[in-house]
Amino acid sequence: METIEKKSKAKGWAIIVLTLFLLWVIGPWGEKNIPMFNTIVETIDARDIDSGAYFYTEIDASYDGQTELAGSIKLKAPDQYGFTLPFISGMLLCFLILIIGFKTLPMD
Amino acid sequence: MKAKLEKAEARYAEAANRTNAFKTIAWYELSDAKAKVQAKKGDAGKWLSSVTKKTHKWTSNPLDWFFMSKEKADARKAKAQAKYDKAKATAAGLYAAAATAEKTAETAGFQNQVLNETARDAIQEWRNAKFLEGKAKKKVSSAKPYNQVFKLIGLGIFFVVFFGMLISNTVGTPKWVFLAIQTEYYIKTGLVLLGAKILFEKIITIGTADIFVAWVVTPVVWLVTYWFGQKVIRMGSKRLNAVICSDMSVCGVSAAIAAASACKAKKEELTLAVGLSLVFTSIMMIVMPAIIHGFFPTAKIEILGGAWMGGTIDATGAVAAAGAFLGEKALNVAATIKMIQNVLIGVMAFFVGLYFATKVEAEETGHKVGLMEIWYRFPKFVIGFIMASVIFSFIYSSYNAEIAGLGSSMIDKGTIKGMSDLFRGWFFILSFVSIGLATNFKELKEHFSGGNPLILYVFGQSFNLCLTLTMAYIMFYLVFPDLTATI
Repeated sequence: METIEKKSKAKGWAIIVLTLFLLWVIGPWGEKNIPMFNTIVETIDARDIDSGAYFYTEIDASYDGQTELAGSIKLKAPDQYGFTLPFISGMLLCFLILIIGFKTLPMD
Repeated sequence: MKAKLEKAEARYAEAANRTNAFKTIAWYELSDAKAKVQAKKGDAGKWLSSVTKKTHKWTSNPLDWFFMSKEKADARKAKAQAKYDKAKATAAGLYAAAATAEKTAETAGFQNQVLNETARDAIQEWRNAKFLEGKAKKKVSSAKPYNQVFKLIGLGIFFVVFFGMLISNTVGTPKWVFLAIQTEYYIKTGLVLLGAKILFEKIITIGTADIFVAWVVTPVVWLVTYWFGQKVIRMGSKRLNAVICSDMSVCGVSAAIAAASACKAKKEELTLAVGLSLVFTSIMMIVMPAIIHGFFPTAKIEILGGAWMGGTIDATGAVAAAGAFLGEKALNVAATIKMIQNVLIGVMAFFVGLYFATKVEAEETGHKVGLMEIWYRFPKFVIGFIMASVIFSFIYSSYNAEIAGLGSSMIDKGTIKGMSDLFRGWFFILSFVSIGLATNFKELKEHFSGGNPLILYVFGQSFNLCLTLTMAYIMFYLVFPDLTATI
């Protein structure tokens, strides 16, 4: 019994050490030595992107992107901006798919 | 706020609207001037931001989370200042070139296509440089010494002790607060606050193409993946199936939390789904830009690539990072598509809640449920989420109707960024800590048995990648090419 407990504790510590090793050694190594990884990290750093925004956080890039794109359409194709017929049909199609889809989902 | 926006309009609007051939320097200056008008910069906003401030970033030393000495801050500042000076000089040079190109195009009455395109490209180069200059400047101003240890302890005491004492000494601690129910409370409060930032007006940002990419593909992927989970690989838990479908098809962690709360999934099921999402987000963030660079036609890299990544990578931050790697347009398209897709969090949670309340739970209990029973079982936070979204969308649109940009100043960069985001962040942090503390790894292992969750995620994400790419191509290049040309 005591041996099993000791083994389990040793396994727990091994997992913690391995996790820390991955976080502090392998991660930074990859950041410096894998070219693609390195370029993306540099881009994130220069643009100060909140790449850790895992749960829905409208980061600055979202605000900037929205302003830029909405401005482009309003300036160059104002008649296509807003709740046009194709746009509303896209929204309705979404709800139609959801209503029919959830009604016919398998139960087993 | 209104007066400041009117002042910006008076100063730049006439020059900004001289032509619609391209976005002029004045157009950008008007846009920048409006973006600077932010309600959160008021005294109340600054105070709230300071008392709810979360920890700082760290890379090699975890102590940087809470504390930075003056020496270290000075060293950082010096390094940042050198980069800023360089970025500033580059931006100034490109501004001069852009102004010259614009003047030349204007001399030709904005009628010469070649001159217009030269001016547009020069202005775009200046914008990119100006953007990097702004970020470099921010790094200089943020390189200050700090000590958050006492503030964070103080804030913890405020939340834990003050509210605890207030409740126990007034209405008395209710029994339901005991055990692990606090987790649910943090999650649901965080989600209702999240609803406030889902603003419907934003879904019209890039017109019709985006709605098909973000709003038609997402429910199809959810439904097909759920069907695959139930019928083909026979997932042991319908709830785990629903949570994985939501985090993979909508927007990762937030959608997973909302779906898990809506279908009353176990904490372990949520942890597993979130873990899968985080792992695949990290991989896709690196691999997708490489694939797009390697295989997409050059002319379609930014818009098609951006739309593809925006519709498929789960987390907002990762979408922006991958988009930025491809370029400015890709970043804008990817981040905006993700934002529009995020609006579906509440919609999906509503349908998931309704499905589990009316069908799954009815099957589990063995009898048909009436309307009152459905109401009783239906997760009410979804209603709070949708109500918050509708109310804030209405206020946002009302402000914008007064003067363009007021909605953004008051709601986006006021109430939301300056208040609800701060508290939502803390509620989600508390809920993740609670989930982490309550997660039983043995049970997690049981849910993962046979690797079915992984198979489900891989199938769903592969289907999502194919369908999003096809839909993006059809919408942006075959159905609405004129709209795409404006981006």
